[in-house]
Amino acid sequence: MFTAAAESFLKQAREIQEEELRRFASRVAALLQGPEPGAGAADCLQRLHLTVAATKYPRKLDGKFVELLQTVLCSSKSPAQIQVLCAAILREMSPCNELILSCDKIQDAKLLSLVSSVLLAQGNKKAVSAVGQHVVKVLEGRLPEGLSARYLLPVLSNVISLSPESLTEEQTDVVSKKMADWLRHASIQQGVTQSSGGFFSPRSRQPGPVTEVDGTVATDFFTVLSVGQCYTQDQWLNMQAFSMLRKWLLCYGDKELKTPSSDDKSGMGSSVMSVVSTTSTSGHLLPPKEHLREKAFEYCQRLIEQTNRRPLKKNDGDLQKACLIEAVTIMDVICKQDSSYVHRAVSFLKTLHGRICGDASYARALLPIAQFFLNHCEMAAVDSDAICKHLFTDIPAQHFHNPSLAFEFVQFCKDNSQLFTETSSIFKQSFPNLFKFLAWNSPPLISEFVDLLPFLLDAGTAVEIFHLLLDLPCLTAALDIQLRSAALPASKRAASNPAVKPATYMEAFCHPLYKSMFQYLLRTSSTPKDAPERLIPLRQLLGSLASSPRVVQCSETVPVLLELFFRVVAEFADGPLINQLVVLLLQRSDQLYEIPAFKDDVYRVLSSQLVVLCSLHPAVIVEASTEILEFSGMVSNVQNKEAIFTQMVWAIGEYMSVSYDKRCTVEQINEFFETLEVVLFEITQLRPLASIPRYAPSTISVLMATLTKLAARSQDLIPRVSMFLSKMKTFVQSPAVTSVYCEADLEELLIRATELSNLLKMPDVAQFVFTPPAGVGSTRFQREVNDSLPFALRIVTHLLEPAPGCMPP
Amino acid sequence: MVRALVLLALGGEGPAGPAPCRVLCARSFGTPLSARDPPADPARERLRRQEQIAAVARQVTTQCHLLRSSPHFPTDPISFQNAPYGVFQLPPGDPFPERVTVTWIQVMALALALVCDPQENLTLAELTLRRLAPRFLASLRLLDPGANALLHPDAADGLLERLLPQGEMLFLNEGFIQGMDRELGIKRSR
Repeated sequence: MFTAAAESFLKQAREIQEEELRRFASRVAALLQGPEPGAGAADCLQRLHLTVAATKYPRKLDGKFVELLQTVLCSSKSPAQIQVLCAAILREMSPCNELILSCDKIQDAKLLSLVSSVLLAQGNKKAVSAVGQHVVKVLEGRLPEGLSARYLLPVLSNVISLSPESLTEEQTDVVSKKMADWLRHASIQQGVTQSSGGFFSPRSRQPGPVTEVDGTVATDFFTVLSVGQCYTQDQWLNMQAFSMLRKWLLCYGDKELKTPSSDDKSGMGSSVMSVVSTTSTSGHLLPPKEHLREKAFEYCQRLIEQTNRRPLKKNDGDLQKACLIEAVTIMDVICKQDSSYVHRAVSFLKTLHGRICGDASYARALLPIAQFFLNHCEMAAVDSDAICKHLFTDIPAQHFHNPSLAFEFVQFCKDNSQLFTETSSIFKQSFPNLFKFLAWNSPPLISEFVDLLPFLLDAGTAVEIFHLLLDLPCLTAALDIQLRSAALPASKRAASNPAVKPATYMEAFCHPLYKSMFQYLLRTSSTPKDAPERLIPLRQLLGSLASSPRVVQCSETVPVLLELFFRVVAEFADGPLINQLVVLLLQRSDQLYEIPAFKDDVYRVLSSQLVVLCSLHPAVIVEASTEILEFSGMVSNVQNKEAIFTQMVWAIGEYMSVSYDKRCTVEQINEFFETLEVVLFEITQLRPLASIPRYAPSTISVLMATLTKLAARSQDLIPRVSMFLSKMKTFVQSPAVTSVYCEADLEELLIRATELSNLLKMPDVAQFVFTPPAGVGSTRFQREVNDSLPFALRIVTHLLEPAPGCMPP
Repeated sequence: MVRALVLLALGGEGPAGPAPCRVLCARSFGTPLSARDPPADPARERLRRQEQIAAVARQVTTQCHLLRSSPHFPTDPISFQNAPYGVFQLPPGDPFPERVTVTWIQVMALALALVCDPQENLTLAELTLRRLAPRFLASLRLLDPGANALLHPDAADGLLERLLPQGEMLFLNEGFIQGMDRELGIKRSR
């Protein structure tokens, strides 16, 4: 743990000055050059390491001292601990220009690995390549006594991941040949146990055969799932070769695919090819890469068979899963590089899928299998749909709470999203299931869903996804209850009495009254016909979970996705879909899960998107007039959903016009006018005794402007609105009002009222000012909501009240 | 391939939210080399690597704190089999040049994280973490209040050399693990 003492120790290490460090280094140098650097030297090197590591900025160490560290590191006389510490300090200082280190002459494998770790940390291609060359050279030749390749393969593996071009074609061939041998020909006898022994106990035991994970004697060649007490060097190499196999195949496996001869091969019938490759298992007739591929394939087959055994130790069970995933992925790589393997792999993996698809503990392994079938379904003439259907239907619903599976599943969807949208409906249909992953694991998955959401959206899914996004925190709460309920004993689960209203959400989960609501929320695939309104009682029921951290975390992702939702929908939405979304937006603003911050954020997004939707399809005001009138006529909406209300009213003023929709009649304009007039009257009327709720000045201002705009289009209304505007003077001066609003706001309101009423004195000008030119709808998108109006108002005010000195004669 | 390993102490809850995390041990295994070669300014390059580690540590800390606030957080203080585990991705350029996947495990107030290539076998990564975590606790004597974990880079090195040599995750069955524990002198608890 990190104690206060450690904290202060770290601080001290950071604050050491250059001079002090120089003195300390010379003390260390003296110890290192002494006859036998021991515990004292190790202790000093540990402190020096911390001093270098504790700060982000480079520590200045004398060139001579750095040289000494390298000499001590490479000296065969140095104790191992001192060597390790020297390497750690040199790594910590890297990249470092003063390095003279080289691995050329090193004969000891452990030391070579240690020196390589310093060289590879330099981020220098030349150094990486030199290490690679040396390691291959050592592997090529006969290894001197004590130089076990066990320490070298990981170095080689790191070299090829840092810079695959470090090795030549010939070198990769040599290593490929060796890898094939390591994989396929490791001893199946255990190594000799190096028992520490005692006076009375024998020094070594007679080695027996290695066993399978279930304890039975190994039936075939050695693999990473072969268990022993002690391993021989070739068994170590087998394990390491398999650990780096996939990377090796990806780096060097398919180079010859580009050669003309392989093009000829791919022209041959695949059935012929599979005969060729299966008959050539004896091996050395094949070129090294193909030979390795064959051996790797056999190894993977054996490994997959070995995963069918019941392990004696739990950890080996976990390893079986990791091996299965690796083996399937390697088979996929091999089949991509040589399609002649596809037929062999397909029948094998089909059997495997049948074996594990019902086993929850192997759920993660279903992803690489599905990936294999997606990659090769054409070639293998198999239908990957059944496998995908099982994957998308069962796995998210059962394993949403497994963070690794959730992550991998979403990655799988992302990797194949293009393919899915083009060829399969299962992916899009399964979005209610996919969102369970996000609902439960929102912090790590939100950025993944930002990538995924556009692939799920189309005209058919938009409305349902809109509802789902708004209900996402509810889904989290429902999943929580589902998990808790599953953990209960069956007797308790079934206990709810249908005649009694459930008292808790746990009871409600199984109660007939709520059951179908839960089922709807937890559905596994899209049901576009279903009405989400029926979730209203459920949202209330789940109210007590609204403050649960997981629900709150999930609710924080909704605004981001909602904004993205509208951005994507705007690209394909037609008029009817926009109408539908506007109506839903207004309705759903009333039906949200009760989390105050969530509601505020959602309102913010919805209000800004409302204007965008209206600008994309201005006819929505006429086409959805019933719902819009209903929403904008309710005073409670001004108070609870100010942002949405204000934007709605603005959109009415802007788009309720014949210039946008020829069907717009005077009657309709009047109807909107009357509705909004009542609202403005309601919120500005003075009741002597009641306290005045504070409405946003911008809302009052937009209401006044919209009424004026409507009046300009239906000029019989002008006297009514003029009278109203003139009353604003009384409103702003009333003591009750001045106690609620600040002076600047009131002044602004009064100015706006005066401007508008001035404008209405010239109806023709007003109509001209308020009627946007045709086609303006498409360019409005980026513009500030209210920016044209103030400008027009200023001009008119100037016309009516010219500045002194500019008076017309 | 593992690009980096970070062992960190999560900051405890303070009056003004969680205290900052502290990196106890970090090891970079290198990132794929680009055309520019060698690093133009070694000091800058080193600073960049340190910042990458710090960024990973902060992200892991955030994920741990978020998980800790969840009702399904395991209550058993030292259970490595059930220790909270998570995965997330860091986009290309932030802070590593290429996309990486970070897997982490939390044991009490400590977290251990592996920064992996995106195509890495995450089941193996999880297994590797669950094996490394208890051995780190033992080798760095992290539960011993008198011991200073910051002063044992050699102990950490011995562990990584066996379980994560040069950043390579190994398919180790229990037989191999037992052999390694014998070499490390770690007593196996039953």
